Amino acid sequence: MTVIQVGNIHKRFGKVHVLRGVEFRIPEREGAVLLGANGCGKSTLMRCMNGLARPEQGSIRVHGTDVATCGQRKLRGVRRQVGMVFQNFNLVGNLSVFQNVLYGALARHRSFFSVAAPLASREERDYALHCLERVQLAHCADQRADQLSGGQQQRVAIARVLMQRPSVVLADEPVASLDPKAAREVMNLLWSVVRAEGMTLLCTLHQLDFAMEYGDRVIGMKAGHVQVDRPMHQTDRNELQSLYEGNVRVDETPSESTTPLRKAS
Amino acid sequence: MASPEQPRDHNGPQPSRFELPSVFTWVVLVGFLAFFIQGITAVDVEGARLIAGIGNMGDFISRAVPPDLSRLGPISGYMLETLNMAIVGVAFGVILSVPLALLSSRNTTPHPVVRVVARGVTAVLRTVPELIWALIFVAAVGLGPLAGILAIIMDTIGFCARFFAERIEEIRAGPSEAIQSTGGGRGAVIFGAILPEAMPSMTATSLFGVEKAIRSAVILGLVGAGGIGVELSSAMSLFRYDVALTIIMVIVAVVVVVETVSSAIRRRIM
Repeated sequence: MTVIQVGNIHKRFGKVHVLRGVEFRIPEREGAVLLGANGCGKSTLMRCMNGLARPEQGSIRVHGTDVATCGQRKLRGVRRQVGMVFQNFNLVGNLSVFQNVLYGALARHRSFFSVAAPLASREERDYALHCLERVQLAHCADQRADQLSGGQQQRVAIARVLMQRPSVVLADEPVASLDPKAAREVMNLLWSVVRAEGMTLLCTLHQLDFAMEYGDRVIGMKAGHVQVDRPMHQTDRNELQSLYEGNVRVDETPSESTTPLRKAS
Repeated sequence: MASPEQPRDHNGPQPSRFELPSVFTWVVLVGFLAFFIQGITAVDVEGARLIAGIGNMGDFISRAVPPDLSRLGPISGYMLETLNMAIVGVAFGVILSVPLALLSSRNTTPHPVVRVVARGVTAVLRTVPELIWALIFVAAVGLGPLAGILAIIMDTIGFCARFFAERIEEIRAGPSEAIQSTGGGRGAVIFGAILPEAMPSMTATSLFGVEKAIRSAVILGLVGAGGIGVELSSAMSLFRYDVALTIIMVIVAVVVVVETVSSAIRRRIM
């Protein structure tokens, strides 16, 4: 069953045409990797996928609801189903780790006050602690989130996703600001959680090694288009490497009428 | 092959060593000088008056020292009232500032028009000096600390709502987006991410508000809005400079203590 279906997405920022007809679909329980150089439109696409940005054209269906056009109420419904992991973790720094995890429960509660640590129900508090145990940070529950290392903060963000119990996870460069050891820990944790819970994952990455090791499928973007879209075992390093060569950014793409100013001699 | 490149001689135009002030700078400078010269001549700064002033200061000091400590008891009572006015006024002012700041911040306002109105209200509250608020409230509710408290509330809102709003506008968007992306609504974003992220800065601003309010509360007494200012003004007009000195010493001591405590708290939270 197709969970995510992206069709002919166009998005412009001023004169820059960032997404130029992006299309792909992701079936249920697949762990897909989205690759592409800086500025190729990956992050914009991820923001469009949970309605933080709206494309001018095209559709993004998540469980059948088109987040590109649906109203605010439906969008909130979709967001409850979609967990996000961000490059910069996006925890509330001066609140406790425990409180940050509890925020995941906003997917189930109308009011903010039912997920505030002092007022949350016993069940939600227990579940939040259980989520922290799964990322091996239960002992840090009472610490301030910004006291943790980068790798630990990203694990808290994964616990927040677990708390949310979504069916889809979007991870936008989850390990780009981590050192190699922490990056591997977070990749292992993210993938094992997603597999154990039977979630569908779309994860943008910069590291080809991680992509080839973890991904079931690779979607490669270049200059606002999907260039590669196939199961990981049908691609090779050369093809993925080519995503990072030539005109890779949307604002570098020459239009048909202009010729290169200078040929490499 | 890889020898360091020698700097080339540039024959073309060089970047100028000095920049001539722009026309705008000239206009500001000339305008300032004109006002300054006009000011000096208008207020009639005379050497003779300054010298007489030094003599009078000497007279004031000789009558003020030693300070008359016999009225220290009642004076402390008035100082306490001043402190109460400041604390109560700031507390209500800060509470009212939070919603006003949320309405006037780009990222939390329900509508751009609301933002403009809220900013306007804040600007009016800030522009009118607290002494004028005090005069208005003395006329409205009569002499006494209530008028002073109301004046301090107005002044605190003008100060705090503005800085709260600036802080709210510059907090990072990430945590708010994280809460939005779990399906949280506007309230959850405000209470869950924006207010916690802004809290340390808002606390520091409120403490500045307390320091400011104590200094205002001293002055407000001069127009009858309660507090120690009444005592100071009557001591001065009765030429009881020794009592006045005691009052001034009490004020300075309390202000110094409050500022020390407040900056110690700010150091801890920032």
